[in-house]
Amino acid sequence: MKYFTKDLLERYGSQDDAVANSADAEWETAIDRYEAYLQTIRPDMPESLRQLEDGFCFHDARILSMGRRDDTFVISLQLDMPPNELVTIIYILSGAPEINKEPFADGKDTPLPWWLYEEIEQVGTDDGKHFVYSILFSNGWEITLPFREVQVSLAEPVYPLPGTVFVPMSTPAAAPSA
Amino acid sequence: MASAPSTPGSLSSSHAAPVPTIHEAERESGPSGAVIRGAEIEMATAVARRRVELDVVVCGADVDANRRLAYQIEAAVGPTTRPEAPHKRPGPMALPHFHQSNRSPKGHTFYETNRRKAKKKP
Repeated sequence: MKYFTKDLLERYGSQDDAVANSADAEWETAIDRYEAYLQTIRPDMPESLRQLEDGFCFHDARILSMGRRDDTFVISLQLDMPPNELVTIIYILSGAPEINKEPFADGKDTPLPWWLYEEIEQVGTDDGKHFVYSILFSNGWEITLPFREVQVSLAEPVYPLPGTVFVPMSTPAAAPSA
Repeated sequence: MASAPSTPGSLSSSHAAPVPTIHEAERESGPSGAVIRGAEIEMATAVARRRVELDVVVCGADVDANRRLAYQIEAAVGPTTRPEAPHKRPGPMALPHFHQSNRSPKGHTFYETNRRKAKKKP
């Protein structure tokens, strides 16, 4: 993440009003800068990426699963806004994904991951140009996915029902006795 | 009720700041991301409203007081997240907010900043 960083988000939630207000101003600038950057790369975006960018708000979506097989990375999630549709995003990777599992330094991680913020970046030059999709989750995880194609499917929820609460285990499960 | 960590923005200010007000809130459908402010309510009503998954918004000219009060409301319901900054996708009028760290009960306690304000209910 280059705009909506963990450090900035932590300062945004600072107990020191001056720090929080400074971060608020910085955040607004980051939104403007990122919006301006997006406009510069939009003409090069594949149609599927434009649809992903224009058609969905993933903020506060609940992450149901994430997984990788070969050059495919799949994220399954449930949107926050009613009717809480289920979304599956399939990224066809153009490189190795990076998964940073460092928690937030302020210790305010949520026990289960929710989608906080995402960024799209175009990297490379000429024929090597491709896109990178970065996501910051509420548990502090940051995932960076270089990809050449993205597919999205949408479904009305049958399970989990809207409002279902997932309770994390506070202690590791006991190992089965020998 | 869960015990809450120390209140954000606990540094006191010396000037007489305008007192924030709490309002019923709902999110406007569509791309604006706007939060619509309804009737003014008391703290206890706000907490009760949040417990049944409804939104509230704290309004006023003093962003520090707004943030602090929004936190107090959400912390009275249970353990809260840090304030979440507005994202570009909900729309240009989206407000920062607190919610429960396990997202149950669902919903948000929004607060106004110097740049972002709730819309009055027509």
